[in-house]
Parts: sequence; C-alpha cells; structure tokens
Amino acid sequence: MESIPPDLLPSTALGTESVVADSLLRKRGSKPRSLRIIGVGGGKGGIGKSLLSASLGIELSRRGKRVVMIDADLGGANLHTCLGIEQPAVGIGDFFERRVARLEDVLTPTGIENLTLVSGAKDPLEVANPKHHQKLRLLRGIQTLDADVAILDIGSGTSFNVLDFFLVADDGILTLVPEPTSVENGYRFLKAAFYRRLKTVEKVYGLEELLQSVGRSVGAGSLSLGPRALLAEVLKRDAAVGRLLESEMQRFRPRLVVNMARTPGDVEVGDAVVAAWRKFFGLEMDYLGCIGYDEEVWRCVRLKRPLLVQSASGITAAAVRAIVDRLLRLDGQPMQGVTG
Amino acid sequence: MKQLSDQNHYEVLELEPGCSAEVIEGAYAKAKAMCEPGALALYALADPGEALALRSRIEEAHAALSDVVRRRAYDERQGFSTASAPALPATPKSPGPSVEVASTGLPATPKPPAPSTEVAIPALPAAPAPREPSTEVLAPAVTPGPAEALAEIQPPIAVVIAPEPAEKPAAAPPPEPKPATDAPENKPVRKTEAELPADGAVTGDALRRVREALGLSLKDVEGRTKIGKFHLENIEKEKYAALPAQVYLRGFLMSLARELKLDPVRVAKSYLEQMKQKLAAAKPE
Repeated sequence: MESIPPDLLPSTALGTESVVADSLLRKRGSKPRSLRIIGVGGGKGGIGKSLLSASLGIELSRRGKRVVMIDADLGGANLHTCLGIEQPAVGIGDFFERRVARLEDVLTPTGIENLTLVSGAKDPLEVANPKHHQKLRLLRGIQTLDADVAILDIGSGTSFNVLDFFLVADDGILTLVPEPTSVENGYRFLKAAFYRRLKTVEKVYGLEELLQSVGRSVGAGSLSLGPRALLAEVLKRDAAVGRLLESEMQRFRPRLVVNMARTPGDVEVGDAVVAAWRKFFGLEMDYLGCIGYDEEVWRCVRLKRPLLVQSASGITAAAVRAIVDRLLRLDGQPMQGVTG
Repeated sequence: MKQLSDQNHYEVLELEPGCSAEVIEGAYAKAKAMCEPGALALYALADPGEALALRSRIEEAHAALSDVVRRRAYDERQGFSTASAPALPATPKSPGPSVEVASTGLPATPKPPAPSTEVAIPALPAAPAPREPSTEVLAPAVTPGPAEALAEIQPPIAVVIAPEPAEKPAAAPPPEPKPATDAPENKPVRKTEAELPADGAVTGDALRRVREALGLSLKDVEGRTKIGKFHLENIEKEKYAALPAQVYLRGFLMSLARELKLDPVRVAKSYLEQMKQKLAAAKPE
C-alpha cells in the first residue's frame, strides 16, 4: 500500500515542533500560498456533495475569487450538470493519459465569471481507477493551479483515491445529512482519512516500529485504540515522540456541513457531531453550518440549472453564503468583494 | 487530547473553571442531548459502554458543579479559584473559545512536559548557530508559535453573529523562504542516487560527497532545509553524540536527502542503522 507523500499534505496548524514538521510536511514553495484547496466529501452518495461543491464555487466566484472546480468523483462525475453545462469535450481523463501537459489545459469555462471546471472523463474505465502515479500527478497539478480556490468534488466511499483528495485539501468538508446512514458513513470516512494521514506521519517520523509495538502490547492493531488511547500509550513510551504525534493528530481538523435539515433538531445535529467527535475520537472539527431541505433543489436539478443561479435569493443560497462566510473567517482571510 | 478518565468536571462539560451557574446549565443540557441513548451524533461512533460512561461523567460533573457548596469544595481541591470572574466569556450555546484552547492543550497546558535531558530542539536557522545544541527541552522558542497557533483555533461558530471577529489575527503568514530557483515540480527523486554506492551504506561522508557534487555549501542546505548548519556538519562528520534525538534526526536526514535528491526513506534508514552499529561497536566496556 502506497501512502500519500508528505509534501502533498497541507499543514494547517503550526505545532511547536514546526521546524521539523514544517520542512517535511510542506515542501515549501511547492504550492502558492494564495491557493486554497477545498475538498467536499462525506462517504455516502446522494447527500448533496456535488451540489454543495457547485454552490460553494459559485458563491466564492461571486466574491471575486478565481475558482477552479474539479470533478474528483472519478467514477460518477456530474459536476458539469450541477453547473448547468454540457459534458465538456476535455476532462480529467485527458490529463491522466497525458494527452495534455498541464491541468490548466483541460479547464472549461462555465459561463459564470471567475469559475472554470475540470470535468470528469467521458470514458468511465479510463478515469475511475487511476494508477497511483496518475493520481499523484493530478494532486500536484491541483496544487500548482493558478487560482484563488480549487474545489474538489469528492466521490463516496473510503477508497484511497477518495481519501487522498480529502487529505490534500486545506479545508476538508464533511457533508452530512441527519440520518443514521449518512452519519455512520461520515464517521467511517473521517476515521479512514485520519488513519491514512497517520500512515504518512508515521513514515515521516519513523514511528512504524513504535506503533507496532503499541499494537502488540494491546493485543490488537494500534489503530484499534483510537487516537487518544494510542497517544497515551506512545507518551508513556516516549514523551517527545508523543508530543510530535499529538500535534500531527491535531492537524487533522475537518469542517462540517449538515445538509437537508428538516427539523430544528437537525440544525443542532451539527453541534452534537462536533462535540461527539471531540469526546469519543478526541479531535476537533469545525461546524460551518446547515442547509435546510429545499424543494427548489430538485427543480433546479431537473432544469439542469445551477441552484445558486436559478434561485439566487432562496434559502439555500443564503445558507451557502453563511457557510462561505465562516469558511473564509476560519483562515483569518478577509472576505473580498461584495456579495451579489 | 485527554482521555475521559483524566478530564476534570469542567473539561467533561467543556467549560472553564470560574464560569457562571447559567453557563454550566447550558453546557449540561447540550452535553446531555449529545449523548442521550439513540442520539444521532453518536451513531457508529461510540459503543453503548462508552456512551454510558460519558453520560455518568456528565451527571457526576453536573451534580458537583451545580451545587454552590460542592462546587466551591471541588474548586479548592483542584486548585481553581472560584472567586475570580470568568476569564473568558464562554457562551452556553457554543463551544466557547476558552474551551477550545483548553482542549487543544496549547499554551496553557497544565502539565509541562517532564524535563528530559536528551531532547534538544533544533535551533532556528536564522539564529546564529551556537556550537553546542541547545539543551532547552522542547522549548517552543519558534517565533510563530503560540500567537499563530491561537489564531488558528479560533472557533468559527462562536463568532458567527459578530460582524467582525475582534481578534482578527493580524499575524502575517510566516515568510516563505525565498522563491528558490529550484521550483520543484515533479522532480524524480532518484536522479543522483548513482552518486551513492548503490547497495552501500549511507555514511556522513557519502552525504557530503553528494552535496558537494551538487555544488551546494552547508549554508545553502541550511537555507533550504532550515536545519542548522552545525547539525548538518555533525551529520556529515558523524558526530553522533552531538546530534539531536533520533526522532528529530530522522526528520533532518529525510529533509537533507530530499534536498540532495536522494530517496529520503533509504537515506534515513541506512544512516540510522549505521549509527546504531557504530555506536554499539564503539562502546568501550
């Protein structure tokens, strides 16, 4: 199993040990500082990831950001439909197969100012299962895009391809609908992403043996412990390593959007998920906000019109604006331009 | 990232000592709702035993803190001052900033790391390199430390209503190292591996030769890897005793290898293996 190379991971929090960690986890200068990568995932299908991606893209582009949308749902690409355009002639498959040199060469205009699209491929077999090196090339292509924001619409499931798109994002957004199936898949998705990131961290710091010995001493794999207990075990063995590990664990900080909320209680599910994640998994998450169930959505989908264009003053548009406000504030980045 | 069993009553309810009774009630209601049987947010996350344990800790915490007399006694035992006004205005409806800070264990970590002697934090590149590695234990002397870290963890929800986040982190992003001319795109890592003995061990000397072959001075490498020159020199001269703890050393080696366009994993592994052997062989007895 090949893990994701450390230089592809964003380091979102500077730990106290940042000298080493930073030089390893972020290849300085490889990514323009101004580019912010937003990954929209959720583990389950049909929870509105593509629609949320498209809406975030439209809203951000309206605020003057140069946005590139990337249909990273390799096996089920339909972001173009959410953006109201026909399947473009070029797409990610052309980049995978090196028919073009740069990711920029497959950008398609969307008819919306500041917003361009890297669409999924037409040939489903070619693109749904990229080889490891093809995927890495895509991830590096994304990191070097000349844009303010790149939005990755990530597919469902927890395969490595899916997880890696989430892990390269500066803001990995977990989309959740208030139903047990979605909550279950959502947690599974986050855990899988967390442990995949941990694999890379292990390799960078050479912690494999230590973690294996922890695993042996508890009789199961070290991952069966959960992050907090795992950390406690490591701290017992080596305090310095434990502190490093802790700061690395804390860099995994997903964002949360609750979609299709129908009751007032549904709105609070977001806070409860954040609290439960902290209490039981020991890590932080940021609740960006909630989007209410909206009848307009299916109408727009049937019309093949982008929701935020068709229904610019609707409840979903307002919710997306609030989510974008919070997202931008998270980074301390001032909002640019004016809404509208 | 404390385990539940290590959390005090305030931490269980995600509160700060010194908060008002009203705040306690709000946090209690929220915590209780979060982990009531059948709660959606727990689905597939907590097993019934864990949820039960948390519920009982929440009840216990609430019982102890909602009673003025018991709370005072508890605060005294724990060494919290009750008299003082709440340090930070925590609102009941949101995970307040104070809670966030506490749970991330950043600057206000209650337990300082036990003083150990062998862990030296690498000196900052800009600092005039002292001959001997600092013996400061994990001192976060790194400038963009606490302030920036604090700014990072501003909870978004707490400030939703406020038009302007008062504490907008003015801290400029840490200066990028000069946009080096090397612009590493998809540089294949193994380009100069031939410089190293193909199967042989990676010695300090071999690393020096590769560096010199690339025309890099120690100072160049220091500038690019942010590893102090004296560390680099010690690595090349195999002055093992002067090198930092292994966990840092490995990081240094991988960084250095990357700069020399060598395979980081191989370099670190081989160098450390040899170091182990040589140290073992050198042991007098």
